[in-house]
Amino acid sequence: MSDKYRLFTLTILLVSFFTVAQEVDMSVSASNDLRKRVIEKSGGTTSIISDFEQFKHLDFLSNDIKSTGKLTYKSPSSIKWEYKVPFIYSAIFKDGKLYINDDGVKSKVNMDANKTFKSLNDLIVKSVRGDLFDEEKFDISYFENPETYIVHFKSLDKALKKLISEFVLTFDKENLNVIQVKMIETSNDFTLLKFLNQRTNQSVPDAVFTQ
Amino acid sequence: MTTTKGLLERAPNKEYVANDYFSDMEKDYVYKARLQILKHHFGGILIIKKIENNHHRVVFTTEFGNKLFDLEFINDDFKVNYVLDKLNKKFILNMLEQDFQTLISQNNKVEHQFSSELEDIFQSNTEKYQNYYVFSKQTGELNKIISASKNKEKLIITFLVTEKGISSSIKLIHKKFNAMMDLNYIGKTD
Repeated sequence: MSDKYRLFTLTILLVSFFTVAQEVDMSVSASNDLRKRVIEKSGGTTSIISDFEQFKHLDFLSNDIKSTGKLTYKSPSSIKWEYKVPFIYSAIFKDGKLYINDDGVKSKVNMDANKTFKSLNDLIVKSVRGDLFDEEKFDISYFENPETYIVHFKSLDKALKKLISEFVLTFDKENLNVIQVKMIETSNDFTLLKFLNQRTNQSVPDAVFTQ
Repeated sequence: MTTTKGLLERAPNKEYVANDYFSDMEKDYVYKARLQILKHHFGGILIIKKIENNHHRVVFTTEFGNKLFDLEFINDDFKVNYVLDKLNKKFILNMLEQDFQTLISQNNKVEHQFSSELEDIFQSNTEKYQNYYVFSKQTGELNKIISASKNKEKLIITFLVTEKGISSSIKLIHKKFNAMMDLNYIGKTD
């Protein structure tokens, strides 16, 4: 057997091993326990400050579109997305309104006028907190690998399904932080958010949420 | 016709005039975009991709990644894969079709050719429009496309900055109604 062939076989073996190791079903009791612990943790979360990486995947593109920035969340529902690369843009969701600063151009959107957008934002806030366990809205399934829990939330609501057919949340096993949110569209295109350098329950001044 | 007034008409020196700004199938053309259509303002990311010859996808998403529209141009056919309810109006879709068809159309048959001291201008006709491709004599680059019908200018596309074959700053302005697009390149340059 040539070295090249041996290496190839080894690679195939390793790849299949990791694929198998990647996601296994969780038992009902383990998933019940996880849900309970996440809801408990999320209830005690007063703030989250985190860097994020966003990947927009469109099937026809050669590369995903990557952007990075900083997220600040403060309980109960103030959230600021600050994009820094490759464009400067910030969006603050506060009191049912969306305040946008697009590289210096400021605008305000009343989200009451756009129910779908409002509900999508509520879900994103809940995703960041990990608190998405609503069995009337989602068909929920639980998986795990050695480092993380992976929970799939299939949308049952018709209006939501048009935008996002499935949310996939990845939790760090050590601290139950949400480290990844994947939002999959009906077309299978998706947006992937990765959270890095997360700090929870630090004091966040209200001034952060002014435009 | 105001576009060609005072210009010298000459015999065309080529059969086709090319707009190569969206011609590389290996590239994802990604722009930070601002769209204004009448009283509506939209900000987001505009993605243009050449899938194969005479086949482009044009997708506009919010900064967060939600799709606002997903359009497909195959030869002269126009297909709407997705459009947000708010934008799903015949007038808007017709406008988007004309704007992007004019912006991306790569090889265009030359009907007339004109020249001035600084520019070479090629006229190419579509079913509905006369499109004028304005090239700088100095750089050889395509600077502008003017789209007209019944001798009136309707749409002006200006390629403001070009780097390594990519137009990194583009402005589209409609003359007959209040609509415009501002595109700034944020994709890879190599």
